Amino acid sequence: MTTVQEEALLRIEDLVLRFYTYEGIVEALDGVNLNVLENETLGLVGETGCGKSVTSLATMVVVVSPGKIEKGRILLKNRDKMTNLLKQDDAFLRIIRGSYLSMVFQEPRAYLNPVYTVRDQIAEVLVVHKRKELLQTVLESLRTGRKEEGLKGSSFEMKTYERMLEKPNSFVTKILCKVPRSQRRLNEEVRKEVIRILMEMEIPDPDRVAEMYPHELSGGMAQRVVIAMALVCNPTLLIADEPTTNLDVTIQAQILNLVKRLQERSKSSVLYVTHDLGVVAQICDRVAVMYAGSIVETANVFDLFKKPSHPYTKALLESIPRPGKEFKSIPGTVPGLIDPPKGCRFHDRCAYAMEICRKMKPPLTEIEKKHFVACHLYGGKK
Amino acid sequence: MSSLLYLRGLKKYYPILGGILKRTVADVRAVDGVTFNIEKNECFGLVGESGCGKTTLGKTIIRLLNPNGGSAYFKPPPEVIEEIEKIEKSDPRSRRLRHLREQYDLAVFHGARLRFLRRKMQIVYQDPTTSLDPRMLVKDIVAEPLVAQGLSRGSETKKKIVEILEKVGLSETHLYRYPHEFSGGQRQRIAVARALVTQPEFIVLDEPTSSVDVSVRAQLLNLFQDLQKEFNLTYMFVSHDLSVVECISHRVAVMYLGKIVELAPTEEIFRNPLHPYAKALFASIPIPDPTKRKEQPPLLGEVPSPVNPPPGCRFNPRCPLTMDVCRKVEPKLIDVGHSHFVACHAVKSL
Repeated sequence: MTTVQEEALLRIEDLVLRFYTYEGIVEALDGVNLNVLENETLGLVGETGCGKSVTSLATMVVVVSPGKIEKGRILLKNRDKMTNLLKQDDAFLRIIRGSYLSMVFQEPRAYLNPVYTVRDQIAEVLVVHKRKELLQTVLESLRTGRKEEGLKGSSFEMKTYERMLEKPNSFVTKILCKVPRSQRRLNEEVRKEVIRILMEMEIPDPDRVAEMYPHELSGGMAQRVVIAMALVCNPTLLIADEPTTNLDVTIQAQILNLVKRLQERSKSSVLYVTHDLGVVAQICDRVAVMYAGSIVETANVFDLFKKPSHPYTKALLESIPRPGKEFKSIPGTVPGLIDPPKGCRFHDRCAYAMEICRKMKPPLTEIEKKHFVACHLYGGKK
Repeated sequence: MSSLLYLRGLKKYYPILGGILKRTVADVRAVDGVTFNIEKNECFGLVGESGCGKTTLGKTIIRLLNPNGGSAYFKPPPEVIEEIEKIEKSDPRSRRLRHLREQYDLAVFHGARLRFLRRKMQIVYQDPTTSLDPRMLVKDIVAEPLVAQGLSRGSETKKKIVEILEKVGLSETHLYRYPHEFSGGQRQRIAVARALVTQPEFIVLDEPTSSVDVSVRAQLLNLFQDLQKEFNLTYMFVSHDLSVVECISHRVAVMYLGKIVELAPTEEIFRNPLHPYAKALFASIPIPDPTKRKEQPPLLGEVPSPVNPPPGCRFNPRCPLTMDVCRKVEPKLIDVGHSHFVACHAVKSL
């Protein structure tokens, strides 16, 4: 395991999110507390409808009506300062999304635009977030080119690019950008960058794939392209929302390996949302288990699999089919969140339910070093 | 034990139409010559990547799709199997074989005969939200096979439905509801009830647990096992979830691009897979144990197109053990002992 630094990159504090629907108020998130440390892979596990995806959407601050964030803070480390994302305006968030935070979704085909080629779609991210850097590289190469030819001063082309860099919003620049071929070198630079990222994703023959449309790609390939789009600006946190659920096991193994390798190399963090405990065991450093809108257990992956403490985590681990054993299932079903059970939301399915569980929601308490559990069974200790 | 199904070189091709006249320009060889048998009262697992022809095979066996070749004998007596094998070797065009096929072969049945056999073979689909009609009440959904087959009428129907619903863990109170009122697990139970109501002998379970959660999955698997004991059912369990197959099946077949590449009893195949594809497939399962992490993905590349499969062994472009012979000759399924069958040139040479 890589050494985990004790600094939080993302801190979600007491996040409450509700959906105001015609059937009633859905209490989707009920006080979520979550830390993503620097340079780690955190797995977020839970059954369907427990709020995993909503948590990841809230982190990107893309919750739309009828959903509403009622309470809480989402703090992201930004130049050694913690910034509350919920307090920021859209312009700031637009910069954050894609370059600091980015997200990979479950269904890559739905996420890719069918009428643009792979190259265009990856290029869009670059042009939006990395325009300045790219223009500078173009200028740099122009300057060295002229120096080698022994020319002094600057050409018309250089002046155009300088103008694009310095006064991007002026009227003249906008007119200049409309002139055909005026951005030729910039486009060339973008194309190089796209091919580079596609090569990093281990896509065979990236030149050809870059010119393909999404329908020409296989499922695994489409997911690689989506990951490429997410990682092209080197975000500090990648949120992966069940990226391998619809893929075959062999392709899944390839993608998991890819994500893990990229995370280790770029020293960024990954929030990996999944329902598959096998996947969690394979790639995560820490795990957070979620049930009906709140985190019930957080621990190191080794501790969680060796010593699960919350009754729900125990049941979840036992429901993994293993040969030679009878299938164990968790009795009952996930409660509806319109009128969730009072107190601990797991109490009516829990084998250890006590009187207090029906009345009071247990807080996350540290039972061992860095092992947090929200259960009244462990209320006595510490 | 006697065979319930005895497949001989079953084929299903989907035509690709092209040109102005919409003529067949090529075939998608979804199932390309599959030979195996399914014993009575067993659960036969079929695994493979998506697009390898698992579902097509399941549907072809129960004649929801018409095969393009080969035969599927339903409940042939052992002496008939012997006879078929003998005739196929000596004189595959004999009248006797034709006679036997007309008697036992599902692939040539038609009309009333096929209709009668439909009640003996049922299927449960992957996604109950799409396999149940959203405008029909549960009672109508479950009664439909009975009505279509003319098996019961009036109040008798209702009695049968309630009986079967109770068997799958639902009750009379659920009769007058629509599918959308149920959870995923319950919906799948309705689909199972519909399959069971005609008292079939053989059920194709086409990824029945892939659309539900872990905890519900365990409930459904228990249900399948209980029902199998109670009704003496034979299952063909199609899945890409290998851990589930390992727990529920008696024998497992691994499929790759329309061909069976390995077939063996579950324990044997999971402990000792011989075909390089099966090895890679089993090694790709994420093990829920953080102490057993894998460093390298066991298999690179993707499944080639079944329209134009690679010549020779279909796995040769991805196989680590490829030899010259693999590119030319297609390996046959051979017995390597312990009722373990493999189709690989490398294994033969061992």
